[in-house]
Amino acid sequence: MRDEMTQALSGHNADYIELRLEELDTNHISMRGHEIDDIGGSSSRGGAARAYVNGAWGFVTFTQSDNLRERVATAVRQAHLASGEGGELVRGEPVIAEPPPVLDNDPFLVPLDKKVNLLQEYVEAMWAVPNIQTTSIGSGNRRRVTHFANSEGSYIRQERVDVTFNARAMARRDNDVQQYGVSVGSLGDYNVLEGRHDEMRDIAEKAVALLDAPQVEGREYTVICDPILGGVFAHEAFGHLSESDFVYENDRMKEIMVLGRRFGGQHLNIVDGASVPGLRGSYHYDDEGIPARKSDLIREGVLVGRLHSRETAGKMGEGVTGNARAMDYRFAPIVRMTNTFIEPGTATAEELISEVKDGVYCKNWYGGMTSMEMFTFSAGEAYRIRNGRIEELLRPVVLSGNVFTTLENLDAVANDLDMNEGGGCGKGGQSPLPVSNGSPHIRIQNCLVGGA
Amino acid sequence: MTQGPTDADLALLERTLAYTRGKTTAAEAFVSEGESTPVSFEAEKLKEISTRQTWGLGIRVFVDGRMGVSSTNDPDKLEELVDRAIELAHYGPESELILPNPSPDTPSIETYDPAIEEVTTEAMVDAGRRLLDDAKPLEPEALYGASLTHSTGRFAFLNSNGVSFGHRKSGFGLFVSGTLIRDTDMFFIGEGDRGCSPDWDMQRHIDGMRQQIAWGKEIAHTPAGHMPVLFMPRAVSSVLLGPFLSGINGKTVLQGSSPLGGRIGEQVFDKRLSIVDDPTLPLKPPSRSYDDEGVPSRRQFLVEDGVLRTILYELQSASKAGVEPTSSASRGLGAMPGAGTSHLTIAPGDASFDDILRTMGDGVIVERLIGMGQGNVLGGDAGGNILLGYRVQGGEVIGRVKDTMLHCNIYDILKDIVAIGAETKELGGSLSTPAILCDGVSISPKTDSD
Repeated sequence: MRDEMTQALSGHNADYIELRLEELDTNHISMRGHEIDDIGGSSSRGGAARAYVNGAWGFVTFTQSDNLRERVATAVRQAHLASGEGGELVRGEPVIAEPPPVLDNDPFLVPLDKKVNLLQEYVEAMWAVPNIQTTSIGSGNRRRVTHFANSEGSYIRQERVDVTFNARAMARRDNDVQQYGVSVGSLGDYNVLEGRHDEMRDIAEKAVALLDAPQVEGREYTVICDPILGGVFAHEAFGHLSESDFVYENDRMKEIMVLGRRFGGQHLNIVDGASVPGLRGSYHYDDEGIPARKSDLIREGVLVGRLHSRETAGKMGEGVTGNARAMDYRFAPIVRMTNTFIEPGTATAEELISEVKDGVYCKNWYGGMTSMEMFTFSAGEAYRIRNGRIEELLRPVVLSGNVFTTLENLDAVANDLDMNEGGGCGKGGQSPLPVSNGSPHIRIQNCLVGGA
Repeated sequence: MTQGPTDADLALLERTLAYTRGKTTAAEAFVSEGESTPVSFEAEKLKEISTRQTWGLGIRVFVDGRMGVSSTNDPDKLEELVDRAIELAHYGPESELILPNPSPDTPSIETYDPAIEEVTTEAMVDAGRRLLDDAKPLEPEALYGASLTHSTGRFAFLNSNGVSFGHRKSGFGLFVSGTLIRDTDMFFIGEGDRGCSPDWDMQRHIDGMRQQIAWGKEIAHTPAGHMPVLFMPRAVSSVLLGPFLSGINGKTVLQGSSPLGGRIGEQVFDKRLSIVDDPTLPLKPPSRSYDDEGVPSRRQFLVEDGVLRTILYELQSASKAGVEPTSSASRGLGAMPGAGTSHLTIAPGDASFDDILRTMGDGVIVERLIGMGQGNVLGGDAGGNILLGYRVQGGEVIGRVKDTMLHCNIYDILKDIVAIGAETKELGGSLSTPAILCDGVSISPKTDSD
């Protein structure tokens, strides 16, 4: 395959060209209530060619892998048509590599009946709780094998297997429906799905308990986020802002995101890195053939780095970071996060909570979204804190803020870093991209909490 | 012209179903193919020209009262495709559904405009440049981007009862956006539309952005509280419709987790609210002669004068509920079909925009939110951070709302609607709606002190 790809890339007139050929296999099982609701699988092959000429890209995707040379030529033609504004990519060293995949327990080798049985056991565990209206549960696997070659002479074969699982219980009283759930995932390890029977019962109990929970009054509170929600916070509130494709051609954004700017206190350290091993956002090379690394984004409260592709790094005169990622062959690589987390501090979670007079303790998550400066993320489970004590359960809450003030208001970081691998990230129509994020318990002063 | 599958597609589908004979009790197969050519401008420069091709073949098989699906994009691996679906069906959902038979009278819906074939990449590049040239003077300090795309697609279907159909689709989209950054304040504006036909009318998008800038350039103080909120058409779509559409999904109702279950014929909303789902409108992107399971398309009220009329069922959930399917099936490759809507029309009211603002007095206009779909969507909760919205005081727009959250329950606020706009807006070729004024919506701004 390498020779075929190398040949297809030779002799074109472009500043840079890359070619990807991919194999994608997926399967999934989902259950609603006690019944299997969907079971299916897909297998596809395809590729993408991308060419850069004088500041602009031509990009071609295809599902038939014949005529590779002609596909590349089309991308080059389109790049010439779009070119003219100037621009410089960061060049890489030629890389020849076939790193072995991380496959602790390959989900594609787990027999179907074993997978179905596990889901059925979990469903039974949830239904053992009285007053459950219904449940939904699902697991899925995706294998992506990428053959990458570029005009610098690189050839890289990588294989990644993504494992996802989610479970949700719903409780209902009259027209009031409440739900609670979890999402987990892993890089190539089916084992993380196993042994969660107690957790399933816990999910169901929490859904029922929410029926009696009051809604929080919408206003500002001191908020404690658990490691899962803290990770979502790191991803939504700051991570997206560190993606350089939002910055590199916008002079105003460059001023705002100038390296050296203070975002928070000395205790705040945020990093992202695909080279952190064994997580859902881990890989050896990104989809532009750049080696993965770990990047400091905020060090002791100060902005010290950002995430780059070849193009954004070239335009900004900074080094590449290996963050150009594509969902699969249907998409061009764009700047994405990998494993993003807030580094641990020294206090305990109990100490953080004990100092809160009037607050909300937020755990777990439904999701989050950002528009650069503004972000929202939602907690699946929340409790009032009064005078340092966790008190009554609340209905799920939505937290919202402006990154520039909220990071300043993040006044304490505990010592209990934990990574959440249950999420996927969406950007530019590419979703869900496997990522992980994490945090210790964190405390945010004056955080806006949405309620009715 | 678009009612039959092409001979090549039909031959492929017949070969696929031939592998299922003797091993399954029933089966269906479909091919979907698409090609699009997006042109994108970033930071006022042409950034990328693409060509994207997709092709896939999907099947569903029924074996011993159970079903399984699989898909491939390799037309030489039909037997593997069928064998994998049969293996999965062994564990699949139990099903007693009966596949449709050929029906004599199916509407013939036009979804392909041959004018799309005349659209060149060069013309799209030129149009993008003109769009940016026209946008720039609106607010020279803002930085603009644009994207244009044209596409063609084909869907062909065959089931073991002999129902076969095909449709071709054409698509055209044009979007422009701008970002105005002052200090750390970011003001996002944007307009655009998509449809089946080339549409080079850019003036309405420029006019829309001019209005956004006029209303939103300055930030206005917004107090906390429950107040009247005018949901502009985009917000009707993202805030109000989302929870409702999950509530009328037949699967959700069958599970007992929808607050709308068992309430057909009941007055659920204000009597001025009517919502029609119509896949038979010509040249709308979601239109089709048959749904994705081969059930002939039909126009239907979801809500008529506030009364719930329809729960959406594809074949499987209809069979389980013991009702007729509602021609609502949509499916992707490698997954079971689900139920969804096509083109929706929300009936206009009689209030002019100025009347609405006068009625509102003090309140908020909301256009775009972020962070939707969180919280208890099934229960009707909707909310998020207002990305583009305006403060209204004394019936006048006085500026942009910033750092403010909106929260409501659609089943509460749509029970007594304050006013419905007389003007409707078509969004993305899939929704036509007026603006809707509701009261008692929770607005939580971040205070000025920090």
